[in-house]
Amino acid sequence: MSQKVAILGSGVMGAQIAAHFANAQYEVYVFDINPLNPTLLSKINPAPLALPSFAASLIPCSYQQNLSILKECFLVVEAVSEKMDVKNQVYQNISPYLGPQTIIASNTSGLSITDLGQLLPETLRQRFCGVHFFNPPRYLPLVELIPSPWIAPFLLDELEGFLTSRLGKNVVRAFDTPNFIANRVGVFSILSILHHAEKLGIGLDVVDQITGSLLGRPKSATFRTMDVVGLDTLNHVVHTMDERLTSDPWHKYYHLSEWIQELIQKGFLGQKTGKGIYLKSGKEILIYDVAQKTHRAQVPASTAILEGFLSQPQKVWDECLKSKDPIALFLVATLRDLFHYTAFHLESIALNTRDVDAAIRGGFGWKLGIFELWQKLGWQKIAHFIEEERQKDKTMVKDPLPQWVLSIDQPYTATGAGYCPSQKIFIGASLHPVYKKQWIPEMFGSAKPDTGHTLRENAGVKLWCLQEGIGIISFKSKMNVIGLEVLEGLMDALSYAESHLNAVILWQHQEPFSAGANLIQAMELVKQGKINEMERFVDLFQTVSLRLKHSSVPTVAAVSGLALGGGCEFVMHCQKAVLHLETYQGLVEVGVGILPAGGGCKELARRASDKGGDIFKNIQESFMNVSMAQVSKSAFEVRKWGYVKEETAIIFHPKELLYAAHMEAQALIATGKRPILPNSPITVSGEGAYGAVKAQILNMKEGGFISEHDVKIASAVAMVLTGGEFPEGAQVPEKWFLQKEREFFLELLSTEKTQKRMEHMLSTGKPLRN
Amino acid sequence: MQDAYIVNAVRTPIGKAHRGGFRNTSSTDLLAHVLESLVKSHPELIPSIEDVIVGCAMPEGEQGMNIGRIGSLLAGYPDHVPGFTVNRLCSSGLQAVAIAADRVRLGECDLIVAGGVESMSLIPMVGNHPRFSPLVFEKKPEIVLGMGITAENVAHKYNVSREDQDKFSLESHLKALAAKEEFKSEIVPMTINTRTPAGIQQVTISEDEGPRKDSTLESLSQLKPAFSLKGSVTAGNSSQMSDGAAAVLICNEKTLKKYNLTPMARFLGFSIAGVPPAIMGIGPILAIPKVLERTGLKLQDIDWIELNEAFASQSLAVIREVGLDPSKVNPLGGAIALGHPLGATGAIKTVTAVHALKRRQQRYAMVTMCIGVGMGAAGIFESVS
Repeated sequence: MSQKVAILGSGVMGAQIAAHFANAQYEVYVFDINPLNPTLLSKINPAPLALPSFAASLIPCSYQQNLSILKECFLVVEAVSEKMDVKNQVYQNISPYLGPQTIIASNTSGLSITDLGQLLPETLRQRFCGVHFFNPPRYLPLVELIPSPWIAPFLLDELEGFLTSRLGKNVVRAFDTPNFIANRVGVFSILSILHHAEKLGIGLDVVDQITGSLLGRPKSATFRTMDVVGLDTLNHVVHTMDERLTSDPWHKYYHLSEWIQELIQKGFLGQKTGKGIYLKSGKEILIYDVAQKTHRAQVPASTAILEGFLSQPQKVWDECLKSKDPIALFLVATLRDLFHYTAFHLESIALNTRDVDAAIRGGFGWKLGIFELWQKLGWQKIAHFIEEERQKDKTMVKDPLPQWVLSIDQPYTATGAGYCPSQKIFIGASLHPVYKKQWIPEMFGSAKPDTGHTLRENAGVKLWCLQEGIGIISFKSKMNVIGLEVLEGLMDALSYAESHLNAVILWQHQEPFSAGANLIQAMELVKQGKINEMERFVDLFQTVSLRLKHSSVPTVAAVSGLALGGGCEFVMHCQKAVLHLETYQGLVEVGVGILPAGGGCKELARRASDKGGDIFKNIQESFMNVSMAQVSKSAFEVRKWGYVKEETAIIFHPKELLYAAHMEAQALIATGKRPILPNSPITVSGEGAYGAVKAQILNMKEGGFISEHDVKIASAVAMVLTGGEFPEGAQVPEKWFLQKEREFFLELLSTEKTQKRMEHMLSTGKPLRN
Repeated sequence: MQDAYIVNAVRTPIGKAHRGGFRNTSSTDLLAHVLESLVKSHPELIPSIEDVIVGCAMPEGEQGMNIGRIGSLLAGYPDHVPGFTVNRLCSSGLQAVAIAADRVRLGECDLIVAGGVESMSLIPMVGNHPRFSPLVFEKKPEIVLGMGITAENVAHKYNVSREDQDKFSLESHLKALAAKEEFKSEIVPMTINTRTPAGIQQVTISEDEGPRKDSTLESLSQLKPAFSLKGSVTAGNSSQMSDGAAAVLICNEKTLKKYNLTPMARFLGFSIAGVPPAIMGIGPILAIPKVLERTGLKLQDIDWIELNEAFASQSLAVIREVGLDPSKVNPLGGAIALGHPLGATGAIKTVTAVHALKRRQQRYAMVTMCIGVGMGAAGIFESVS
């Protein structure tokens, strides 16, 4: 397969899709009437590019001059504006230039794939389909794959494998119906929320309070999500439903309220125009008031009745049914109509319940799919409730639920196979070979992941295995923080591994990889004046790091999500790492007033020394990263910063991480890789370099950028990184670095300002500058 | 004591560091170019040159190994013509001129060359290998303060407002833009051949690259402080980082007569003084009275003042404290607009001053500047045409 792809159209979606192909290390030819300006991408937040330098793989092209490159591209993704005549023009333009193998796919969200295919010459139609990405395409996992009637099945399989493994996407196959799956039900959810909020007189701020994390949906809830999507874009999507779904019983609801139309007309389109339903005014964020037709301050409401919905949905639901609180009525009504709508349309839009839930999870960021939630609330109970409400004329439409709903007890089997109404069977995960790499795949319904075979378990960690001879260490703490029990568990697991296993992998069932050391525990020890125990804690931390590095069996870190502080130090000490693209790693200790003391500073000094040349130059970026508590914005950045080796594998699909880690472990076993022997000295940049860093620190202080306490912390970091007590070029034993880490750690921890920083982080989640 | 006469004075255009036309040009090449151009019209003088003294603030890397000697050889001066390098940071070029003039005044030399060179593109401000001894922090930590911080200290101590600094900076640009024609007599254009993977690129640089036509008070006022969170010193009211070189030819009366040369100016005197490193920008406040006293001149006698604009804050503090007539200060713009190639600046300002005296038929010119780690220098020239 060639390394080239073409993206047609460099609008919001086209440019970002192009960027993600660049992340995946493809040469991307971006066609547009106005050639792509790659610096545009640097302004989009969150960043579409994993490293700014990847912009170099985006090659701006014009339809006049560069079409001949298309024959070398294995895939062409069309993302031009959603107008049939514009797309037709582009298709006519490019058709003669496509290579005999080139797959052409449209990223349309609203037009019919069959209609679009008809614009192409017959020979090309069998290589045409829809691939529908969600904004932002790097971060939202869903891609809907929509076959055209002509496409060869093997090409769809090829594309599914590619999108899954290379781009890291969750592929859901959709039928060619308006707005496909995710937008069809997701947008209906918004429309029903608008409908019921208006009816019950619930303010938009309160709606967002209810429909966000409380229900396991993104924090941006309903209206902030609408602002992010763009009110005009949403209007377009709704308009498509209005135009193309004329016989849908809910058709009369397919329009956005008058007040949204007014906002659109006034240019309040959301994030892209800097104003929308939400409006930033000074430091305050105002929200639109529908009745007053103006923006006002947000007024929080009590949502106590909904608390605990995610953990005990049945209980909350039953209480809501009994309540007269408009918030309770709102929740019941919106979920009832969403269930009604989704069940009614399931057979026409998707193969089974699982595909609908996968789509809403991956495209809208919901933790629970629609059918999953329904199952949790009681399938038959809710079905009967909808019937009752329908007969009382409370549902948005009068049409009955489809027959199949009452014919099943659950929408999922115990193993997570989803119900397929057309064939009246349950269908499980795809047999596509790409999913063989997902050893612990996404689970649906009440299905539980494979827990393998447990080898050791204590309060802090579990050592288990899926493959004989290779252990997996997973933390049991919240946010996978590292406390005393985790350290002790690791010591035990590593001892077991060295005598019983061939390799061991650090992997977590859920992100983050680790939010760092257990600050609550540390604070308690400090408050109780248990300095000896604190010393033991940091000592044990360093011992675990060293054991990870020098263990006689290979240690492999499999990292996804946050890997902060001590978590980052463990990754640095493992003999090998595999990283998911979305790895946010960093030594952030300075933010809570301490320095990396789990061997992190030692390891940075070691790497600068091993690199050779000007050791001070090698250490300067590390100093900046540590002293500014920098966290990487992608796995590529982790590699660039030297927290892992340059050749470290970066995995795009998070579910392939465990598989990849096992393959790396197997390779290390097969090649008989020996650990690095401990105790070789580190060459330091020395006291002059320490002076140069100290000069930078003093200037920052003079300029008011950092506080007195920052000077203290940064100087400690500089001292360890440069080996600042010794002349340049001195060979300093590793134990000096570890000793200094411990000394500074305990010294800083005993200061009031560091303790305040920790308390502040624990209570607010944000760093304190003092 | 004999008189020391400047008979020729040339400089390169001042290039923008890292982005400008000289960004890949070695400091030795910049220097050789001005040394060669200096004697182009009088090649018969070359064998009689008795020394080449060159100022350079970061004499290492491309400008290390005694660039005074290397530049002279690359300019085609014969092996018997010696050369050396002097470093007094930002006044290195003026210091070189003063030493050369003194050699003549003492009667030790008849004909001598002085100059300055700096490529800030190639050698960063603190050098390639910045290190500080623990002793510095023990005894005098102010030594490590960045120039920007010292400029903030001066702004604070002498109450120089952000608005005044920005206004001063805008004027510098406007004056420099208006001076393009006048600068033609002192600039020796330089052609640069750069080999790129796409082939050889040939560019001739004949104008200073620093002055900006798009500078406005509004755009300057919107810049964020560069060195201090709540400060007033910005990239817009500080001197620019630059590349450039300059050279002057100095001789005694005997040599004037022997070769039938027409002098441009006479060197009258030079002073240097130390100030606290944390407010290095006020150096000229001490140096100016000192040089006036030595030369027996009064401030009002001086017609033309080249005050190096390291920062607007320190320039304004100096103007106000010494009582300089603003209309006489940097009539053709200063380093905020034109750029400040550290060790070359003193020589460049000397070139500009002596050309201005001649062109505008004025009598006395002063070149003065502040110096990193806390010093000030000033030199006075008198027109003789």
